[in-house]
Parts: sequence; C-alpha cells; structure tokens
Amino acid sequence: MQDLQRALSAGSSCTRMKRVPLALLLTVAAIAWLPSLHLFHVPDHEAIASRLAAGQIARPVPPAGTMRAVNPEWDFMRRTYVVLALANRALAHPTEHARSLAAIDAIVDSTLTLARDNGDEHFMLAYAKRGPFADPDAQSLFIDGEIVMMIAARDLVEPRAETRDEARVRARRIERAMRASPSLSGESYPDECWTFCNTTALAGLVLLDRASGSHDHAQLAKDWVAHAKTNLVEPRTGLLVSSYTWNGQVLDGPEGSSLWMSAHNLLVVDEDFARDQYERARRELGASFLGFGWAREWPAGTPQRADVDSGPIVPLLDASAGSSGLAILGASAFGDRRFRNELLASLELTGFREKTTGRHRASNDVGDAVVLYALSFGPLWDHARRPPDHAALVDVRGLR
Amino acid sequence: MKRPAVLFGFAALLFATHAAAGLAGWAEHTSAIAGMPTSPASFVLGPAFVLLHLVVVVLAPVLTIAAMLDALLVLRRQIERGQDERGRRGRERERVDAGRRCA
Repeated sequence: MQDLQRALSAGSSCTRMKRVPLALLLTVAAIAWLPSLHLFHVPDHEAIASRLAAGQIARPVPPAGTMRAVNPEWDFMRRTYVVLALANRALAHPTEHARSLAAIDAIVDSTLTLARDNGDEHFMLAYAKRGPFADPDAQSLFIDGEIVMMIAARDLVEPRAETRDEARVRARRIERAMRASPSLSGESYPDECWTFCNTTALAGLVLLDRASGSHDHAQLAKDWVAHAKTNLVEPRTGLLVSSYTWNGQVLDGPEGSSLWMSAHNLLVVDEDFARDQYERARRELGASFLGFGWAREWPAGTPQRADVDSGPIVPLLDASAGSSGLAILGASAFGDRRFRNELLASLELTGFREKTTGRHRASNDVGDAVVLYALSFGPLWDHARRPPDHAALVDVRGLR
Repeated sequence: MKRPAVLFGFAALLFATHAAAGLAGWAEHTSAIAGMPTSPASFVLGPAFVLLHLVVVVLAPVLTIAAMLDALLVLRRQIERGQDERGRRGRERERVDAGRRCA
C-alpha cells in the first residue's frame, strides 16, 4: 500500500518512479472488488417467487421421471413445498387465490391417487422394503405427515370437503404410531425415525386442528417436545438429532438438511423451542463471508460426509447444497433477513437462475420448490397461530 | 502500456471463454450438482462451468480493476514525464537566451 501511495503521490520525481508491483495492484483491486461482489447478486425476490409460482400453477404435476430415478422422495417433497408455497401465496395475493387453490388440489389429488394405487413406497427410497416396521401396524410417517400437512394447509386457506376424511384417517394413524413408540415418534422407514418427518407430522396436526377448530393433537405435540428436549437433543450442541430407531437409539446426529425444516415446523408447535433450535443451528451450521452465506450439513468437529440429503459439500467451506437451500427457509421463517439475503446472494452466484422462469439450473424441482416456499413464507404460519375464526370453523366442521 | 494491456487481455479472454461456454449450453449441465445430470458429460461440464463462472466473477473484475489502475499510473507518469521534458526544454531555452544576452 505504501508503494502505491508513494507512486500516486510522486510529483515531478515520477520519472525516476518504479512501476507498482503487479501483486500490489492485484491486491488493491481485490480489496476494492470482493467486498462489493455480493451487491451484484441481489435478486428481486418477489419477481423470482412470482415466476416460480406461475410455473407451478401452469403445471402443478410436471413429469418427474428423471428426479424420481435419483430419489423418489424429491417428487413427494416437491409437492409438499409447492402446496405450502401456493397456500401462502393464496393468502397473500388475492389475485392468485383461485389459481393457487386449483394447483394445490391437482397436486393433492395426484399424490393421493399415486399413494393409493402404488403404495407409500412410490414416494420412498428402495430401502423402504428392506424389512417390516418395528411397529407392525404403522405406515410411513414421512408420507402421512406431509399429506396431512398439504391437506391442512389447503383447508386453512379455504376448506375442501373432499379430502377431509383422508386427513382425519392419516392424522389418527400418526397419533397412534407416535403414542405407541418408546421414542414417541413414528417411523419413516423400517426402524428409522426422522426429526424432519416427526416435526412435519406434528406441524401438520397443528394445522389440521387449527383448520377444524379443535385441540385434538395439542397434548401429543406437548409430549413430543418434552420427550425431544430430554432424549433427542445432542448434549454438545443442544441441537435435535436427525434420525433414531423406533426405540430412540440415535442413528445420525444433528444435520442441517433436517434441522432448518424441523425448527420451521416447531414454530407452530412450540415457538420457544423452535427459536432455540434455530439460534443454535445458526451458530453451529450457518456461515457468512463478504455478504455471501451458506450452511454446513454437520456441526463443526463432525466429519463432513456428503449424502443424499446434504447434496455435494464444498471442500474447505463445508457448504452443503441441501442444508444451505433449507437454511433459506429457516432464515425466512425466523425473520433472519440478513442471513436469508446472504444465502440468496450465494444462490444467485452459483444457482444459474433462468431469467424467464426463475428456476435454478444448478438445482432441481425440489430445490426450486423450497426456494419458492421460503420466498413466500409467512401468511400460512401466521394464520395457523392466530386464534380461530368461529364462523369459518362452523363451516369447516360441516355443522352448517 | 504493455502490462495493462496484458491484464485487460487476460480478463477479456476469461469473459469470452465464459460467454462461449454459456452459449454452448454448459450452464444446463450444472444440474449434475443436484444429482440430475442431463448427460454423462454433465459430471465434467457442470462443475467445470461452476469453476469457470467463479473464476470469471471473482478474477476477471480484479484483473480489469488492476489493469485500469496500472494504466492510470502509466498515463500519469507519461503526462508528468512530458511536463518534466517541457520544463527542462524551457530552462535550456532560458539558459541559451541568457547566454546570448551576455554575449
């Protein structure tokens, strides 16, 4: 720097001045450019959400053959995130209300038909058939929980009689399975319980209660949280573990791809516990540099191994595609605008967004559905936490 | 002005390579990162495009700024060298004029 100042301040003696070293020039240029790089990666969030939503409304059930060949779960989870996103948009944008509901109904109907015709395994990884569930009467909580969540979200926007019984049957099944388990958790796969799925199921039940004006599942939610605080939290980080056996033996410790979604789910179940989990996850998994943000899949000190949930992990930074994508949802849900904008700046830098459709070339349909939901998040969860409107409830319960 | 031209040239080459890769559709291959390759080549072209993009976004502007700074410094040096030259000639002329007056 002194060389450069000397060079710049050299007056008539400049004829004797040496050239500024290249390394110094590059350093000064890097210092000027790199801190401002993120300013060139600030997308118009509402424009992206509108384009992604328009695509989903135009084709609510797109062909998913390629994605299913890699992971059938993605096909199912895309449906859940799109339904949640469109439910939010239906509440926030009256002009999109009818089209959003039509798309939601198409997705829910198609999902129920596929699950009925092909079994839950249609949306599950092949190891769903590796053996019987520890609870012989149980079905996958992954499927039941997200279907209840989808139907309940739709009902909170506007009640739909056609799917009411389906939701009730699955809700009863969830409650029975969770109550029957020593870990107070339902299995997603044989002898494999996931925090992601159990908190999704609980949030789905809370939404269903809210839509029907009951408190049928409030005690289950309270009991699960109490059990989780004692048995499902890793002592070192205080974070919820991601998977465990039916008996409660931990299989995998805290994982970003589970935690951000779980914390978001817990917002409608137990807000204090949810905020505690988000803040811990932010501290243990979140990272930012020069206006860009990312999230690790595993806390520091844990070997950073990539799997189907984490997606690829960037060496040195330990940035996980799966965890970073779901961290956008976490940051949106907890009003962490700074981290959300940093994560979106990273997505803009590395996602290769198509200007016309809003889809990210470096992602897939489930990734774009998560982004759409994260950018639309708010009205549905607010609605779920508001005291019920009794006039509407009379209608939902079919008493009118 | 050789070094600024080299820096500008290198930055331009990076931009041109990135543009060519974009036109060749390499960006579509980045779906391989999400486990959705469009062809077997995606496993090479996708990560290659991401790397190229990061290099262009991070390095090319740095090279361009460095080149501009360098060019400005060279220009300033040339202007001041010209001023020095004019001053030296002026002083020489004054010395010659003074000598003539003395003679």
